[in-house]
Amino acid sequence: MKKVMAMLLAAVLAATMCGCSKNGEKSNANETAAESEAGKKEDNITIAFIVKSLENQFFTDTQEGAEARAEELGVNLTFLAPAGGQADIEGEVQLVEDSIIKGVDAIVLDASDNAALNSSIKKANDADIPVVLYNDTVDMDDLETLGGRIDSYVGLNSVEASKKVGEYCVENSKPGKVAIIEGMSGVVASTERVEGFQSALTDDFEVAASQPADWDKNEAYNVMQNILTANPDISIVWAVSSTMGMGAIQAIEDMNLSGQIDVYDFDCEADDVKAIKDGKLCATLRYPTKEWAALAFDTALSLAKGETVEDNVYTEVQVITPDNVDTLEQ
Amino acid sequence: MKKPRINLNNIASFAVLVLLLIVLSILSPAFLKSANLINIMQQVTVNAIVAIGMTVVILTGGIDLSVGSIIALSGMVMAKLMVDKDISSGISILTGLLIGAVIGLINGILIAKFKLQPMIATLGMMQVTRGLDLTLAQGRTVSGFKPFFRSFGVANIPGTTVPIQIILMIALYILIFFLLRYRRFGRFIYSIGGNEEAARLSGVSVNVYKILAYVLCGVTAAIASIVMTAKLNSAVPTAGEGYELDAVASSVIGGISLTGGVGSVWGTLMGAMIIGVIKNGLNLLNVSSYLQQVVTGLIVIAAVLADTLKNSVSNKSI
Repeated sequence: MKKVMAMLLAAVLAATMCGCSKNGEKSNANETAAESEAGKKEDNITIAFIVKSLENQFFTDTQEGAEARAEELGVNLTFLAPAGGQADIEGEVQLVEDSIIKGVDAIVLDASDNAALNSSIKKANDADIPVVLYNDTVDMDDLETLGGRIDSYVGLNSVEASKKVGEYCVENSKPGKVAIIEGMSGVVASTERVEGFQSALTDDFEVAASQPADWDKNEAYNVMQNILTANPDISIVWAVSSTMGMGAIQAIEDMNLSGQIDVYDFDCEADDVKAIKDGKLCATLRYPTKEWAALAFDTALSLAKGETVEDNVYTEVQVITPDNVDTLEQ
Repeated sequence: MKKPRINLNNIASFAVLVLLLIVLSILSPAFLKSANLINIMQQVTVNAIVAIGMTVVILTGGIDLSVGSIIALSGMVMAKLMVDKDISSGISILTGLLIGAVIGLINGILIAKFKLQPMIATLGMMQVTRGLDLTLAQGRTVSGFKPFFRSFGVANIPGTTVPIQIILMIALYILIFFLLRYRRFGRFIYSIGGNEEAARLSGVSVNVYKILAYVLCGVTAAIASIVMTAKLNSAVPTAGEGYELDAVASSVIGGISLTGGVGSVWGTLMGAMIIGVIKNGLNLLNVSSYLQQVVTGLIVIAAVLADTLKNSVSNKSI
C-alpha cells in the first residue's frame, strides 16, 4: 500500500513539476555558463548533499562529517533530507530538482530508491551538474536507458565488508548452525550483506534459517524468537544492521540464551560498541561515517572544479571486536 | 434483554484463523509448543493494541495514518524523560499517554472541525510527528529503563509464563467492546459511521464523538508504544514505521468496513491474530522472504473477499 500511495503522490508531483522544470532549466543554463567563464573559486562553490533520511546515526554522522569538511575548506554546503524519511522518495526527488534549479555546482546523493531518482539524475546531467552517489547505488541499466550517467560512486563495498565479518566468525566461533536476520526483502544493501557473510562460511557452518525483519528492531526481536523456537540449536546469528542486531540480542536475553549464541551485526553504532564491551555482541562492521562523508564531499568538490575523479571510491572498513573496541574514540 | 447478535464477520475470520492454526501445526512441529503460542500472543500485542484505536476511527468512517509516528514520538519522549531527566516511570508513562492524546486531539479537530479528509490530515500529522520524534532523537537510540517500566514489556503473571502485556491487551479489548456495545459512546460512533448526516440531524454531536475517536486512537498507539519500548528496552527513532498499515489490515481482515459503521473489535483481534500467526508460521518454516509477501497479500485478499461475498448475500449486522 505504501508503494501505491508513493506512486500516486509521485504522479501528482510529476504532473505539477512538468510546468515548473522548463523555466528552471533555462535560467540554470545561463547561470552555469556565466560561472564557468568566471572560474571556480572555493567560496563560490555550493555543493548539495542530499541523503535519504536523518533517521539514524549513520545520517547524522554523515551530516557532521560533510559540514565539518565544508567549513574546513570554506565551501558552501546545503545538506538536505526529505521530510518523510526513507519512504519519502518523491520528497527526495523534489530536493534534487530544487537543487538543480538553484544551480548548485555538484550534487552528492544517497538515493532512497534505485530507479526513482534516475530521471532527476538525468536532469542534473543536462544542467552540467556533476552527480556523486553516496552509499546507495542506482540501477545503471535503467539510468543509461534514460541517457543519464553518474560521475562517481563513493561507497561501501557491502559484499567485501560482510565477508570480513564472516571470516572473523569462522576464525572465532565454533562451527554450528547459523541464523541470518535480513533487512528488507529485495533491497540490495540487505542481499549484498547476506551474500558477503555467507561466502566466507566454511562447510561446517550451516545456515539453518534466513528471515527478513525489515530493518525494524521489534520485527527482529520477533523473528529471532521464532527462529530460535523452530531451531533451538542455533549457535550463531548474523544480523545485517545494528538495529536488528540489538533486537535479536534482546530476544536472546529474554529467552535466557545469553552466552550460548554468538551474534554478529553491521554498522557499529553506539549500541554495538556497548554490546561488545558487555560481551553480548561478538563483532560488528565499522565504516568511519564522518570520513566517508568528507570523502564524498571532496569527490564532489573536485568535480565542481573540473578535475577528474575515479569512478568508484571505496571507504575503508574495519571489523570491530572485543580486542580492538577500546581503541575507538567515542 | 436482547439476544446477543452473533456477528457473521467474526465467524468467518475465526474460521480462517483456525484453518491457519491447523495447517501450520501440521507443517511445523514447533508451532504448537506452548512457548510458541505465548510468543505469538506477545508478538501480536503491539499491533493488536494499535488496531483497537484504529478500529474505532474506521468505524466513524475515517482513518488514522499517524499512529506509527505517535508510537515513535511517545516512546522517545518517555525514554528521554526516564533516562536523561531521571523522571519516574509513572510520570513518564502519563506523559507518553498525554502525547498520544494531544496528537489524536489535533487529528480530530482537523477532521471534525475543519473538515479535512482523514487520510490527508493524518498523513500530514504522521510527517509532523515523525519529524518531532527525529529532531528529539538526533539519530540516537535511548535505552536503559527502570524495572517498573520494563515490566510492561517483560513481566509475566506471577507463577506463570504468560506475559502481562497479553492481559493488558485483552483488558483493553473488553473495555472498548463494552463501550461500543453497551454505551452511548458506541451507539453514536456506529451511527456516525453508518450515516453521518442522519446522526447529526438526530442530535448527535458528531464533532465531539469524532474527536473522541481520534483521541482514543492516539492513546492506544501510546499504550502500544509503552509495551514495545519496554519489551525492547530502548526507544528507536525509526520505531513504528509502517505500523499503521498492519493496524488497518487487522481491522479490514476482521470485517470492519472502511466506509464506516460496520464491524466489531473482536473481528479486529482475529485480524491481528491472523497476521501474527502468518508471520510466525512463515518464520518457523523458514519461508523465503520474497514468498512471504506473496503469502501475506493473498491471505489478506482472501479474507476481504470472503467478507465481501458474505455481505452481498446477507444483511449487514452490527
